[in-house]
Amino acid sequence: MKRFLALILCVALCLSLAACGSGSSASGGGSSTGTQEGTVSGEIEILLHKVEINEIMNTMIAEFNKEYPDVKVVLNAPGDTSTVLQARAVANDMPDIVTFTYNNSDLAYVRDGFYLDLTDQAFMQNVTDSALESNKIDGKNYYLPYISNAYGVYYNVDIFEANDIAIPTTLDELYAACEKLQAAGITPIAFSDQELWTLGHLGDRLMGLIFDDDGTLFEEIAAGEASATEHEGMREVAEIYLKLHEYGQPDSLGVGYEQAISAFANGEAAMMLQGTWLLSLVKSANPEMNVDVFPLPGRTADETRVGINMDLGFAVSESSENQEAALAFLSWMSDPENAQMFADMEGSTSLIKGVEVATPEFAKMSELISAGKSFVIPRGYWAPSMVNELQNALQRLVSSKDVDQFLQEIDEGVKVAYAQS
Amino acid sequence: MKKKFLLREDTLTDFIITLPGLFLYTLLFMVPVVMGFFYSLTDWNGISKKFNIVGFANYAALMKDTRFAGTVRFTVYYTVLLIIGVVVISLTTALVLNSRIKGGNFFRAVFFFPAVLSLMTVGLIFKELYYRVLPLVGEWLNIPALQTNILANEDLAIYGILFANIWTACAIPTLLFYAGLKNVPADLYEAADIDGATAFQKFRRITLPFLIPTFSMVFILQLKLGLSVFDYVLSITGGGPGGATESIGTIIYNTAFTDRRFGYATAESVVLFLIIAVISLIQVRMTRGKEVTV
Amino acid sequence: MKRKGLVLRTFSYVYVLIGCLLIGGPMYLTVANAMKDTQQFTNNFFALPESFYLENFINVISKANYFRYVFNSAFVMVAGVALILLLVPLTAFPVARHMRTKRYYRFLYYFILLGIFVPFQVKMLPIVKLMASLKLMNPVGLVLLYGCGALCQDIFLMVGYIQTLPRDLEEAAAIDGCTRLGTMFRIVYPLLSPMLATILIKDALWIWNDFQMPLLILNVSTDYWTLPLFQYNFKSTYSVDFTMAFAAFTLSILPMMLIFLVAQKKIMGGLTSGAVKS
Repeated sequence: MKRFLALILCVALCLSLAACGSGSSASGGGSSTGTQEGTVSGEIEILLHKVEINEIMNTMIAEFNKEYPDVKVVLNAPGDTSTVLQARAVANDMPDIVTFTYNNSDLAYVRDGFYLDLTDQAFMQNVTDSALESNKIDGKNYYLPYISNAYGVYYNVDIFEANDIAIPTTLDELYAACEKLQAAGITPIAFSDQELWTLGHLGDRLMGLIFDDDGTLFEEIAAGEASATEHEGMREVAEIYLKLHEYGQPDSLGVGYEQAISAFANGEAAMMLQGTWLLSLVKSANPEMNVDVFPLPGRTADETRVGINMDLGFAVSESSENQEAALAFLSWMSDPENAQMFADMEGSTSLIKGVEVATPEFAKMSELISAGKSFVIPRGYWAPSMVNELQNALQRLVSSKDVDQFLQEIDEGVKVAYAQS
Repeated sequence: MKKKFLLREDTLTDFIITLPGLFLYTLLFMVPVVMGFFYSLTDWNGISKKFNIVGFANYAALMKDTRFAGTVRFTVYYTVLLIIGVVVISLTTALVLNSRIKGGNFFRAVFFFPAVLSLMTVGLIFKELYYRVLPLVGEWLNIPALQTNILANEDLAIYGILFANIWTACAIPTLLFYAGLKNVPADLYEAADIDGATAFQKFRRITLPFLIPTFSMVFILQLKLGLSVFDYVLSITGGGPGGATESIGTIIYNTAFTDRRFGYATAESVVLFLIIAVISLIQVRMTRGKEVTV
Repeated sequence: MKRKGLVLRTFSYVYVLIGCLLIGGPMYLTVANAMKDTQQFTNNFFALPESFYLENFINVISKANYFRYVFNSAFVMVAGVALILLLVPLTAFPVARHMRTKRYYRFLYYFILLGIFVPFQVKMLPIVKLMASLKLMNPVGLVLLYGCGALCQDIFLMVGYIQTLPRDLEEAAAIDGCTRLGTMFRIVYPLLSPMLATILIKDALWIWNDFQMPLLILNVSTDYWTLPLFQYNFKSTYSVDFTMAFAAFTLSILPMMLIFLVAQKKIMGGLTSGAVKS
C-alpha cells in the first residue's frame, strides 16, 4: 500500500508541475510603441543552429542588453536544431528568432509562411545589396542574412614550400601540384568520401564554377527538355571530380570527416577541399600547423570564382508574441558597429555593409569576393531531395569511376526528386 | 473446488490493476500511432499547417518504388545476420558466465560494458578501427579484401555496421539468457547427473526447453532492432558507399527529414511495421507449446 | 566425464578472455581519448594519453548548468524506471495468468505487443503534437512517455518470465487469507526480481542515454536539458569537439556501471529466491 500512496503522490506532483510549466511563455507581450531604445520589453528565445558560436552569441546578447535592459534573451542551442525546429513547428510553439543556413530544408519554413516578411524593415538596408538580392524568396526577404561561408582549398604551407610548389591559379596547375606531391610520396588531397555531405559540397561548388548552374539544368531534365548525359558542363564536372580523386587516398570512400582532418592536420596529406568552417577544427587539431587557404581554381585564372553560401541568417517567427523585441534584436545585430564586433570574434565574411573581416587565411578568397568574383552555390535552386540524389550519385562515381553511368544516374535522380515536389 | 472459487474472487482485482497501464499506453502510445497512420494518408511535409488527404496514393507509389524494394533486401539480410549473431554470442556468454568460472562478477561487468557506451562513441571508435587497425590485420593474415578499409567496399561495409551493432547489442540479451538460466530448477540437473547425462544432453533436454521463452524475447527484440536499424548505419557508413548500406530505417529518416515528405515516410514506416509484426506473430505461433509450462 | 569438464572449462576461459580483449579495446579507447587534448587525439587515436590529463573532465563539469543536467537526467531516469517497475508487473501478472483462458487479457497482450513493432518515425511528430496539446512538454511528460514506451517490450518480457514461474506460492498465499494485492507485492514481486532487475538495467540505460525523445520534448528551455542533449552540444553539422564529447560520455558511463553492479546482485539473488520452486 505504501508504494501505491507513493505513486499517487508522485502523479499529483507531476500534474502540478506540469500546470506550472505551461504558463510561463505568455508573459511580456510587445505592448510598447515605437522602436525607441529602452522602451522595448519582453522575452525572446533564439534557436541557434551553430553551436560553435554559442559563446560569441552570449557576448553579443550581453552587449545588446546594455542598450535594451528590458528584453530578456534566451539562447537555445541544442545540437540537432532541424529536429527541434520541426517539433516546435508541430507543437505550434515556434521560437521567436530562428537561425539557419541557406539550404532547402530550412527554406521550407520560409515557403510555408512561418516567418515575418522583413523586406520593408529599415535595418535590412544594412545588408550588402548582393546578399539582399541572392537571399530573396519570391522577391521578398524573410530573414536577415548575416555571415557567409566560402569554399576553398586548405593547404599545408610547409609541405608546399618544401616541395617548391606555388599556389595554383588554374585547375591544371592544381593537378601539376598534385603530381609533384604524389611523386614526393605525399597524399595530395585528403577526401572524406564516407561523409555524403562533403561529396555534395564539392559537387555543387564545381557545378557553379564550371557552368554557373542556377537550377535550370535540373529543371530542364525534369521537364524532359535536356539530359545530363548530353550536357557538356555536367560531364566536365564529373571528369574534374574523378581527376581530383586520383590524388586522394586510395580508399577515400571509407574515410570519415574527422579522419580526413586528422590526416591533413598531421601532414599526411597536403590539401583539403572544404568551407570556411574547417579552419578552427584544423587549428585545434594542430595549433602549430602552418595552414592557409586559396580559392578553388577554375579552368583559367580568370574563371576562378568563390562559391559562397549564407551561413547564418536570422528570421522572426510570424507567430511570435514578442515580435517587437525580436525585431529590435535583429536591428541591433545588423548595426555595422555591432556586426563588426561579431565579425572580430567569429571571423567569417560578414554580409553587413562596411564590416571588415581580417582572418588572414581567408584573405585570398575575400579579395575575389569583393572583386565580385563569387557565385552563390546552386543547391538552393534545386528540388529539396536533389542534394541527396547528387551526393549518392557522386559517391557511386568515386567508387565506379564511370562518368556515363553517373550522368545517367543524375538523369534518373532528377526525375525522382522533381516528381516529388 | 476451493481453487476455482478463489480465482473468481481475484478476477476483479486482476482486471483493475491492468487499467492504469492500459490507459497510459492507449493515450500516449496508441493515439500517436493512429495519428501517424492518418498522416500516411496525406501529403503532409511535416511542418506545414496545411495538407491534403491523398488516400492510399502514398502506398500505391511505394509499391512501385524500386529503391525502397532494394533497402528491404538489405534490411532483411542484415536482420538475419544480426539475430543469428546476437543469439549465438549472448547465449554462449550467458552459459559461460553461468558456469562456475573464477572472477564471474568481473567478467559479467566487462561483458555488460558495451551497453553503456553512447552510439556516437561506438561509431567513432569502430570507424577508426576499420580505418587503421583492420587493414593491418588483413595484411598480416594476407587477406586482400581486408587490406583496405572495409567501409569503402560496397560488399563489405554491411559487416562493418553489423559487427559494431552486435558488439553493443549482446549485453541485454546476455542478461536475459542469464536470468533465464537462473530459472532452471537445479534439482533437474542433479537428477540428470545421477542418470549420467552428458553436458550436451543436459543442455539439450533441460536448459534449452526452459530457455525457449527467452529465445522468443531475444528474437523479437532483435528482429525489431534489425529491421528498423538506422542509427548504426547513419553513424558508421551514412548509407554509403553509393547507397550500398541503405536500410529501410535510413530511407524513412531521409524521406521524412531531408526530403520533407512526411506523409510518404509514414507510409514507409507502416509497411515496415507490417513486416515486423507479421514475422513476429509467425514466430510467436511457432514456438507456442514448445516451451515448458509449469 | 572429467575430460569433458576440462574441455568445457578451458573453452569458458578462452571465451571470456577473447571477449575481454574485444570489449577492452574500445573501452580503453573511450577512456584514453577522454584524457587527451585535441592535438594528441588527432595525432594518435590509439596511443596512451601522454599525461594524466583531466582538463576535459574539468571543462565538462564546470560548464554552466552541468549539475542541473545531471539532476534532470537522474530525475527522468529514476521517475521513469519507478513508473515502469510499478506498471509492468501490475499489467503483466494478470495477463500472464489469464491470457490462456480469458479473451480480455489475450487482447491486452497482443494490443501491447503490437507496440514493439511500431517504428519510432510513425509516432515521432504525433507525440509532439499530443504532448503539446496536453501541456506536457516538460520532464514530467517525458517520464510518462518513457513509462508507456517501455511498456510493450517489458510486458512482453515479463509475461514470458511469469509463465515459467509456478503458481503454487500464490495459491498457498491465497489460502492463507492474503489478498490478491498483498500476494502481488509480498509473494510475486520478490519472485520477479531477476526479470525486474533486467528491466531496470535495460530501461535505466535506455532513458539515461536517450537523445531523441528529450530532444523532441524538452527543447523549450535549456533548463530542462538532460545529459545527452548537453553532450550533443559538442557537435554540430560541420564541427565536433571530440575530446570534450569523449570526456562527457565517459563521465556519464559511471552511474550506469554502478546501477548495473547493484542490479546484478538482484539477478544473482534470483538464484536463492528461486529456491522455493517446485
